[in-house]
Amino acid sequence: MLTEKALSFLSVSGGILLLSLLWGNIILLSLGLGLAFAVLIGLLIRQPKTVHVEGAQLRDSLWVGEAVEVSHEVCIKEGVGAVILHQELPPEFELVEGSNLKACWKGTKELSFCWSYSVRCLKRGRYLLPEVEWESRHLMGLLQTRLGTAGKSQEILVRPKIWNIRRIRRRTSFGSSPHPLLDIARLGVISTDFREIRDYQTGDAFNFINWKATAKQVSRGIFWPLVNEYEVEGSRAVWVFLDAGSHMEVGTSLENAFEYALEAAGSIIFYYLERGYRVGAYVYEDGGRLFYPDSGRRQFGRISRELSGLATSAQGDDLPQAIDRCRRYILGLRPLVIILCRLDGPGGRGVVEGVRKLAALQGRRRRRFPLMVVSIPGYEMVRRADRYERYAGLLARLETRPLVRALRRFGASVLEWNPRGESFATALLRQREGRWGF
Amino acid sequence: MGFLTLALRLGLILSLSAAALVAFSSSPAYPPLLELVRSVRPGYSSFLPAAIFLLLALLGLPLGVWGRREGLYTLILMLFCLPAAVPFSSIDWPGALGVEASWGRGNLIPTLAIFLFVGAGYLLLHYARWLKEVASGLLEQGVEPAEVKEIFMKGHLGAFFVAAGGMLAAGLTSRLSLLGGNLLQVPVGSWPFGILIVGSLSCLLLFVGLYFLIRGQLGR
Repeated sequence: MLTEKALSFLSVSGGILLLSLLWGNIILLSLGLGLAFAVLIGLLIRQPKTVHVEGAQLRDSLWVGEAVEVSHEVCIKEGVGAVILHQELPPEFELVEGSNLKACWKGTKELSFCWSYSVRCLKRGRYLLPEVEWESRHLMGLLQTRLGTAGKSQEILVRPKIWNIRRIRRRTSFGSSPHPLLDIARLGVISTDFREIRDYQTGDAFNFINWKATAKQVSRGIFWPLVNEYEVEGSRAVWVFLDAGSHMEVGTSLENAFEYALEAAGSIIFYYLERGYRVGAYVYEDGGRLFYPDSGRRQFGRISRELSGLATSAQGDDLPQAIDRCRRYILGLRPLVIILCRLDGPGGRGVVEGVRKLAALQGRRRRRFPLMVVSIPGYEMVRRADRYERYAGLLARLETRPLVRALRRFGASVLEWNPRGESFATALLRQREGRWGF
Repeated sequence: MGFLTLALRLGLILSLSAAALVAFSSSPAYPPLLELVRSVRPGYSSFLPAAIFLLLALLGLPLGVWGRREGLYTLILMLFCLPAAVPFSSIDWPGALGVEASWGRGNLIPTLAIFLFVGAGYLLLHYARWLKEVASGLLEQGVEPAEVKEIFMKGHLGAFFVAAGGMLAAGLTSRLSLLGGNLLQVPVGSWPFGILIVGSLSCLLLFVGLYFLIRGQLGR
């Protein structure tokens, strides 16, 4: 398609030719023909028609804040002119190195180059890196810019950040301890409940080697045996309640209480699964999303994948209802219960009600199981411009004192974590002891 | 980048102004103007070529260098050049209207070379401006300055080749006309203009038609 420039050039040359025809003037005729031929030759030099882009395969999943390199092999075979390549990034991605916009000049020879840049994702979720968009411009701007796409789109799963928790402090107590690290017997009798397949390690019994899976692995070129791992009898359990109400989203879209709660949940789940716990979870205020208690890395992958795509909801069940739904698991497993929520929001009273319900489920004192409430103050996420807003934040925090006292009265350990002030791992080390243990 | 474009456009404006001055001074319109100046201000007549050059160059700066009106500037140049081309016309319109005009005719080849140079200058001025707009557009989009510079330099390279080729061809033809005397100067009056014009236009139309036909076929 011709541009306005090309049409104006052709009009000028046509006008001069017409004038030369009227006067019978050889000079004007030559000028008009010269201009017309120059434009036609310009039109014959075409801009690149196709761009071949082959993108390197990215990892399926990343962690929040992790940088990844996106690289493409670009090949332009035909045409002359400027070529601009662009790969649109989701708004949650930031460029670390290089640029997702590349411009180059395609001469008469074939052009091949590697285009790479690094990005970092700031928020968990599922993202699509779309195809590379390209546009090629004509040498003299006589033809319309040609647009197209090349390469393949890729889906990336960004998981919430996992804090490296070294230790969750608590006091040893008789019988009620769900922590293998503090239990007297750390290893139980191996049951027949299959947990997962893992690489053989020195000391593993030969009869646990999974020969079929090992043979498959050998056919893929990995010469290392795989062994079956079974659940240990009497392994302890942890149950995580996560508040996914819309009141958790105080702050910006990238930094809010909900995002930090997800990070904390992921860190806690990872910590306990790594230590052989069975971990179950329930996301309330979100229509109720239940993760059956299980152990092993597969369970972490399952929960982490779900947490990556989790969104808040304005309507849903509250904590007491969630506890009712998980009642049989809580009574059966007698797990360490961890509640991740906001006490300074509208769900604060519901948390106290829920903990009261849990305390009622516990029954006699010797059968009590530990409770831990991790509260993320939402007002800490809001930028406070003046002292009045600072005082408002302080007042909001003071308002939670009666709730904290009530929670402690029911035997819960309350950890108020300000993500802007300290990491979750540090906060866990300074938690206060509750009335019964924690 | 900006300096390169500025230098290129400035050089072109000055060259085009000089070419237009040469064409105008060899045209039948120049002697009457000179006489007019002599009669009004006798001492200033020797400054007339310099005044015309300055006028054209000063018009060229705002229109062709800083502005985007290189088409208007070329039109002004053509108005100055046109009197040099009129004597080579085969159709005597003033005579047909009953006006007796005896115009002196200059050399065909140098005049033709000047006209071709003005035409090429028009294209080059447009090209330099377009390339600058592309470069600034890319910078606004956020393309790395080094990449924009590469595009700018390589884009200009083509323009320089075209300019050098055009200048060489124009210079060669004018030089040949001086050296070869009448070898290249065909007696214009004996040219079959009707056939030439109609034939050239037909060829052009055929060429354009063929071009779009082939382009349409390739595009499918």
